[in-house]
Amino acid sequence: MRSANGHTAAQVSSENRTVAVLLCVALAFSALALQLVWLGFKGQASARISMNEPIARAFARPDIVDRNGRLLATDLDTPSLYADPALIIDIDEATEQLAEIFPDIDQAQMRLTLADKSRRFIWIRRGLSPRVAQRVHDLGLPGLAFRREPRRTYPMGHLAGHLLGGVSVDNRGIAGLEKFIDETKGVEAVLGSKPSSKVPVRLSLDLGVQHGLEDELTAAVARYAAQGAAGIVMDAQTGEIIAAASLPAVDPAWPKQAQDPTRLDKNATGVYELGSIFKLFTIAQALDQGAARLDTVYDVRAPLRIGRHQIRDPHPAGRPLTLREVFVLSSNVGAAQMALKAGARSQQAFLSRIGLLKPARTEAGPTAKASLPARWGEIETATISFGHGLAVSPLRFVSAAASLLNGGFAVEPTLLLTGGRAPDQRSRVISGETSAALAALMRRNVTAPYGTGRRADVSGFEVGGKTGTAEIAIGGQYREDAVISSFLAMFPASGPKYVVLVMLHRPQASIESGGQITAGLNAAPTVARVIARIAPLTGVSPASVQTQFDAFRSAK
Amino acid sequence: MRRWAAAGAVTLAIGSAAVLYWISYETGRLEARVQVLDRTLDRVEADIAAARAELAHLSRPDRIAPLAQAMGLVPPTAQQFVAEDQLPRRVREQP
Repeated sequence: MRSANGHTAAQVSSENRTVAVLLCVALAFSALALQLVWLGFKGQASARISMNEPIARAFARPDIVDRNGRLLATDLDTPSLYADPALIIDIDEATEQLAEIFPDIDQAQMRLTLADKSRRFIWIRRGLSPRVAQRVHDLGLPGLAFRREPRRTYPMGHLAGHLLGGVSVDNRGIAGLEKFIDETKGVEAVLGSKPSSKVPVRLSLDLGVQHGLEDELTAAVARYAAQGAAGIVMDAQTGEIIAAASLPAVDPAWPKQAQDPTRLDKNATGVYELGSIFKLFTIAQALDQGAARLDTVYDVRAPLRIGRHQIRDPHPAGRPLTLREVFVLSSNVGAAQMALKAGARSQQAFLSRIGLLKPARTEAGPTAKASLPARWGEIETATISFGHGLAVSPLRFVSAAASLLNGGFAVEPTLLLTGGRAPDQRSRVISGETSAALAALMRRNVTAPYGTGRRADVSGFEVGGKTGTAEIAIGGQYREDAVISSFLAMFPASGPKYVVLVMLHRPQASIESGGQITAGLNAAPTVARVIARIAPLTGVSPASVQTQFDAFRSAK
Repeated sequence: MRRWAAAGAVTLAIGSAAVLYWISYETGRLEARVQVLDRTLDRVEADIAAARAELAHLSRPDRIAPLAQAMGLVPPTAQQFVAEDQLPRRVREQP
């Protein structure tokens, strides 16, 4: 049978099959073309291997910078040495040559480890310097090789060592801010050495201020032959810690140093009876609760008797004193009378309200718990009024003092830059008037010719402050020759921006301190040196400039 | 017609094979280049990190302070601050 154009049925069927096959081929090629176009747009040509932590072993950490972006901690690409026992030819030779480069190596243990041919990977030493790595490389021993790893480096040395903490050999944070980074910001597991992709952690610290504080404290320790020292500079409005130092210092590159009991961070892990600087709290309570005014008179002529105890002033005034004078002359009897009038429960409630009785928590960890008296009776109320019988951490003390001096708003210490957050209006602890009165009292203590803090004055920066000389209890007995000498300062007094605490641990009598160990003669001049050094760095205008500026604006 | 179609399909197949081979070759070449660039990038990033750390180490305050003191420099005092309008003008204002 033929069709109209002369083709047989078989020919037509064959043609149809050919067209069908051609169509299939065309479709397949079109699919391939589309796939290529799709891949081209998607741009993911190479496969990536995902790693998990046990394989990675090392961790990339974000940088730590100060408030001005200056580097405090970073990761560096360093070689780490490992051995493949299966490839080591002469174990004795390898061990002996390695021991020449690493004298602290345990040779017997090393021989045993390298003899275990079933193992293919053994760390010998991690985080080598390029020079040491080159010496190992020059040995030319088979079976030894290097792997690149990130290693934490602290270019500023011991600066802010207590706050930074430290990392483990795997580059994981084990203390201080480094631990905080692991817990909150996170670290990245890496194979080899890859820099962290995370943004740097910006601290509230100012390296210039930190160095000024550490330098002056070091000089004070030498000048007054003290066993140690601590200092804090805090932004009174935000609670940001601008600098915090504790001597003896620790190097964050050697985290074990921080475990030495003599090198503990005095600001956070120690609690101390801080002496007369506590009178700030006693007077704040009396003024804020309306129990006293600045001109209220206290009879301090005779020692105060409570049961079998007697409270006396080291330098009795011999006349009744106003509240102002109780503060400026640092009368224990006057402060005790104020506290006893308010009562133990009221004192406890007030100290609790300003946050003094609970531990503070910064990003570097919590502070030690306050050491409270077992029984808070009359005698305890009296002694706590002038800073004995209640031990607190210096960091907690400074944040409580800042809350009283910043207009009366509670602040919590922080090591992170907050960007100048405004105080929370709901967190008011005392009235603005009381806060201003306290600042004026502290200023008066520095400017009055008989003020205990007169050696803390720094021309132009309106420093105010209070001294504290607390005897240390050794074997249950307070000793007159062993004291913690402290000075709480703030500046400028017309609107406190910064609170500074300096604490000297067991200073000795020296020529500079006039043969005495009282705070007015050692801690006060140390604070003056610290503030003279750091005030120009903090952006606080000297009073003379502020006056000129105000006059210029009013003239305009 | 059928012959032309068959010839076209064969040409397309040969052409496609050539293009695929070229793409595969080019991909391999580019992957190798990406690896080289990745390694270079890692090395440069490590160098930058080392340079930044070195710069920070060299500019640390406890190194700069003695150098500055040796040059006779001292920390500023309040007396060295003046308000802007108190600064002496170098250029007199034109009437």
